[in-house]
Amino acid sequence: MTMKTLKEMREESEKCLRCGLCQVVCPIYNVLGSEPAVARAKVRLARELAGGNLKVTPRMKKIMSLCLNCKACVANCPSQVHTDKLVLAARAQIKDEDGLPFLLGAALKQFLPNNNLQGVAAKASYLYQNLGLQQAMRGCGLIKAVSADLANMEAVMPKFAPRTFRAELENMKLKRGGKIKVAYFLSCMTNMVNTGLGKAVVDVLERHGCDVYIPPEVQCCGTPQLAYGDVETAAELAKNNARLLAATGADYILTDCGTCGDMLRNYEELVPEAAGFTAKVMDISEFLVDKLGVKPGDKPVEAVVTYHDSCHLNRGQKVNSQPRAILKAIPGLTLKEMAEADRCCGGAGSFAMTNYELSMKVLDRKMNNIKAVNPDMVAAGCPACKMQLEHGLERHNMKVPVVHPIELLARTY
Amino acid sequence: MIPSNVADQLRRIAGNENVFTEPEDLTCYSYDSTHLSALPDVVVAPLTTAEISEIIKLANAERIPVIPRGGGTCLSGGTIPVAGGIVLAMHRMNKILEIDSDNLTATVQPGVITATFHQAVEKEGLMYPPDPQSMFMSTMGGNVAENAGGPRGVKYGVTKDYVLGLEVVTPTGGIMRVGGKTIKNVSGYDLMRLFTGSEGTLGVITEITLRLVPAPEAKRTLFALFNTLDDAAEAVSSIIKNRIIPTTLELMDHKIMELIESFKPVGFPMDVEGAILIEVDGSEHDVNTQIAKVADICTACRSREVKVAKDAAEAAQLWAGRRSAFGALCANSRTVFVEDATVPRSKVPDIVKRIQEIAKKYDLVIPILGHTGDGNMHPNILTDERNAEEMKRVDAAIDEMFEAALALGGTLSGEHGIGLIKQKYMPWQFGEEGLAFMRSIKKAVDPNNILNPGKMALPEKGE
Repeated sequence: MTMKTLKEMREESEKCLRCGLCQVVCPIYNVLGSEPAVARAKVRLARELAGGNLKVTPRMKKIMSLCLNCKACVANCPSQVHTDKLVLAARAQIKDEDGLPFLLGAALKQFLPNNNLQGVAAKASYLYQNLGLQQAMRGCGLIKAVSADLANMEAVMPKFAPRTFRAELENMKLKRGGKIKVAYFLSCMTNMVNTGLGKAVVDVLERHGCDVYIPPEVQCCGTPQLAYGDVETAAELAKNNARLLAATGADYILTDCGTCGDMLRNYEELVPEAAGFTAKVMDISEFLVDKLGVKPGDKPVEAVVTYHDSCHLNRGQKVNSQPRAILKAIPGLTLKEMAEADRCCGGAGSFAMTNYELSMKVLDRKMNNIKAVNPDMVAAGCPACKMQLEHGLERHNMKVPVVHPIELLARTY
Repeated sequence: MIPSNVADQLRRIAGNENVFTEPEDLTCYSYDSTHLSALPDVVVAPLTTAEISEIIKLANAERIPVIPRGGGTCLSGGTIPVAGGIVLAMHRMNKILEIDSDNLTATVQPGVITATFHQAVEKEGLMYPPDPQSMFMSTMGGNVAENAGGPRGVKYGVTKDYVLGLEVVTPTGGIMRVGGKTIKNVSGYDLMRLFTGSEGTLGVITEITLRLVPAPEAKRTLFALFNTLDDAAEAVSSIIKNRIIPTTLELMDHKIMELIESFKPVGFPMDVEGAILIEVDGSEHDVNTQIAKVADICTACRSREVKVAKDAAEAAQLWAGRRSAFGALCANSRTVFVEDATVPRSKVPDIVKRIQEIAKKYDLVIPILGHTGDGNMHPNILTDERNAEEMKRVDAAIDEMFEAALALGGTLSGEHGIGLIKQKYMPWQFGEEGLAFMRSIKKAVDPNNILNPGKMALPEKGE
């Protein structure tokens, strides 16, 4: 395994000059205002943890958990300190010493990497949401009575699809005979929640002359595992996914999820087996705009849209102009920029569930920026952001859908 | 170590969730922007003046140091709890209480971020001139305590020129108001000036009333290039001598422009030894007259090229270069010492020469930049704190720089303050009599040496 341990990253932590510029951009610090919330402090704590002056304690865990991994601090840091990587390394050390809570461990190790279980769970969730159970549960307050955390998790829960995309794929006939061979990495969210996005991606790619390959055994990208410090499971997933995707012989490996794409692009740091793999990974919007030239259809989409930069797509993968180029290319669509489009929405995977109140405060700032634009819809290139933004829009009583740029592009055909 | 019941009493005063004693939290409040650090015993984040008063009274009863702390961006070690004790984290007291457009004043709590205050004031068509480079993270309370400056100091002065009134918790826990909203106020001792720049040693600032000025109608930027750094420095002095007061007048040497270009290129030329970046503001007419005069003076000082930014975008690009200087320094060095020795403006050419000589003598890389329009130099020493031999040379070079600044009729600090770092030079500037006077003030108001002890060459506990 090649990912650096916290001890090996001590040098990185010593690069910090404590200037405090990270305070300006850190969404968590913006809400809490206290020093432990900011990147500078996490770098210092990582350094003391690496040096053995501080130990893994509940407080250390709590502080290290207060990071969205949005990388805004890294982008704003004069010394280019990789706080994101230091925090992940600290979490890995915490997990090694303390393990994971049973349910979380089960979710990371058993559920997310298991495509069959995902299918069952999605179905169960769909039924829960569509047979009136969800409303009943929310109405009677039982969940809240059991646990506030559980209630928050339930509140942020996305709307599951009746059938996973993988299940639908069994009956879908992918076209052959295109000029370019691409492998499409299917994210868990596209699989379980945004199945329409999966269809749009396949449709758009085929219309751009691509043969699309979706290896069925490809699993979760490994981000949630890495975020909770479970480097071993993340590495296992990386090894397996890299092997399966490379075996398709595709020229490009495409993602429709900012977070998955960022993870895939960092597989080489995780497993040596992924050498050479990374160079083929591209976000779908980057691929369409930079490699092929995007070709929209004639059907207009009459609407004003504003674009939210997902952290892992923008700062992680440096993809920001391409999704906008796609939106601008769509006939009838008007792109109206919001203020601070690149500021984190506070979703960060399960962060919104585990730190609900804090996450909502980060989200409120995003909502106010969206409100100022008053768009017909919000576009975002990461399903995790979509889930968070949808929750925020509902909380703020705004009936504005959140869509992936590729879904909008697909509507033009 | 502090008595074990102190934290409990602090919890009673400020609430459970606002008192922190775990080593992780203490570590987070052990440092500022310098390379120094020391652990406090406890951190408390108060919400009200009354809470602070109670905390200080407790601290007096138990003889525990109290260190007020804003954004922790101090460049002098001023907020480092060298004697342990209680860190007062001021971030919860962060409200802008009033912007009074009729009187051109504003009243704020100390935890307000300076840039946030700027934005609020600018919305009203007004300006709060002090603009420390750290303004995006430093707090108003910290600015007052350190008497912060900034690039606009040439024309507009520093924080002390804008403080009209303060609410202060005294070192023994009393609550006191000095000054108010009046522009003229000559009653009694000028305590506003005493507290402004007191670096947390004489009181905890809990409310600040500030003077605002109308936002200028227009501004323009000029960039002049020189074949020698001496010529550039001479142009700085010459502009002032010719009775033009720009808003901002920044000097940059070849090295700093080279670092900026390799960090975030803005198109600075690589074949000149010195450059000055100037902004003037005022009425449309004044601005045009002034910029023409400045251009003439630069030409008379053998400027190779004088470039007047044709629009706001061009001006912004030039200033973006200057603003990224700190990043460029950090990107190129493990440790950066940002010094701020300051001289009378006519002596800028002399101090520039001396800094160059010192850099050569001690074989150090010291790019020069500074808010030189007010004589405020920022020689930045690029070094590596792990290199003990080089650190000795750095220390000697800094000693010599301050000696030179004082010999030229200058001062130890233009805007960073004394804190921990410059204590040893205090006798050089004030002499024993001057220091004794300061110490007697401290002793009179803070008999138990509670507030920020161990700073500014004031007496230690038991001394």
